Amino acid sequence: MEDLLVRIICRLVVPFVQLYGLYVITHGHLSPGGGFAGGAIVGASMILFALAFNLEAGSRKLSHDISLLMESGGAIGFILAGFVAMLLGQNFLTNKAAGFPLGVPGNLFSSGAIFFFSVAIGFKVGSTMCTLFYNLIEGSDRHRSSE
Amino acid sequence: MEVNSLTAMAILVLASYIFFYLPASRLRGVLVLIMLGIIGYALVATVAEMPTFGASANPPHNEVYQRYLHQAVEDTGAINAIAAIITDYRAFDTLGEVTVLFTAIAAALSNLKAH
Amino acid sequence: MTTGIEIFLLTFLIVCAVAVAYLKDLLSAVIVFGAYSLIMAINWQMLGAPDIAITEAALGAGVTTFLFIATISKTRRSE
Repeated sequence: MEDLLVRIICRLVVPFVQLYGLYVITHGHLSPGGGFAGGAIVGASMILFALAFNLEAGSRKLSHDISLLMESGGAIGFILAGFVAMLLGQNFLTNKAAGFPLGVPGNLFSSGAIFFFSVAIGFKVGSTMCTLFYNLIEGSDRHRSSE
Repeated sequence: MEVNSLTAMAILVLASYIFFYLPASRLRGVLVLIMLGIIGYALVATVAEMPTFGASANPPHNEVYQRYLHQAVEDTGAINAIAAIITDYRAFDTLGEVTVLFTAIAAALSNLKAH
Repeated sequence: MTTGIEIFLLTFLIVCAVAVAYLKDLLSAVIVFGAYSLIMAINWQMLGAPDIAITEAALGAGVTTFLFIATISKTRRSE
């Protein structure tokens, strides 16, 4: 897809979309949204970039290995944050009783482990969308050239 | 409307199953049409029996939701009650969702990379 | 209780859902499905569920459409 208009508009829009996605992830405990919605927005912005330019340009921004690493790392981070509570003598995935500092309700760094959970889920979902799309497109290219 | 919905639907499904094996004819068309009308009437009657949308006497309005709305800020420190529920009260469910995503992409990648 | 715009949105939703089933061109079906998701997101917002609305708009209208298009580019376009 070699379209100048699409590329210029995409170059303008993508940073704002990613900023909004990060905002939705990090403010999940303050405003509507959270890990799933924000991660989907970030992943959709990367997919949009790879669609408007091409797969190589998208891979240069976020390579396959880093995307896979983020995907596994998000899930592992979520589970490790749950194990912290077990180390402190509470149930799995406990927040307040395990002694996470709750802070002042309404501040960005409040509500203890919910912030970490949201960020981990956001990384996981966003990189999942990216990885799936990259692999689908890449597979189709290889498929077409082999025929 | 005092219809035992489950019995009525069971009879309807059985009758439709019998109609399915009739030879194709004008009679079968008419019977299927009548059957569809009865099924549609049963569905609409069931929906009409449901409690009013958003009424205060509905089953979800119990002590669980009051507990979540009143104690969420104190228990978790999050002013968004939905985030408090899905990542603190029901965090194990969220872990299940993450596992579902992980399994889905693992299956998709293993299928795509195999070719 | 049910205002005019809600009736309009729900009617459009049903029309989109039926059109997805009847369209023979799969790319058109995917685009109409994206429109369906967008209308559904507006409906969630009007029902007072902004969390679900954001997720539906990002996942249903965005990522699902992209993934379907990628799948169509790998397979056939017409049914």
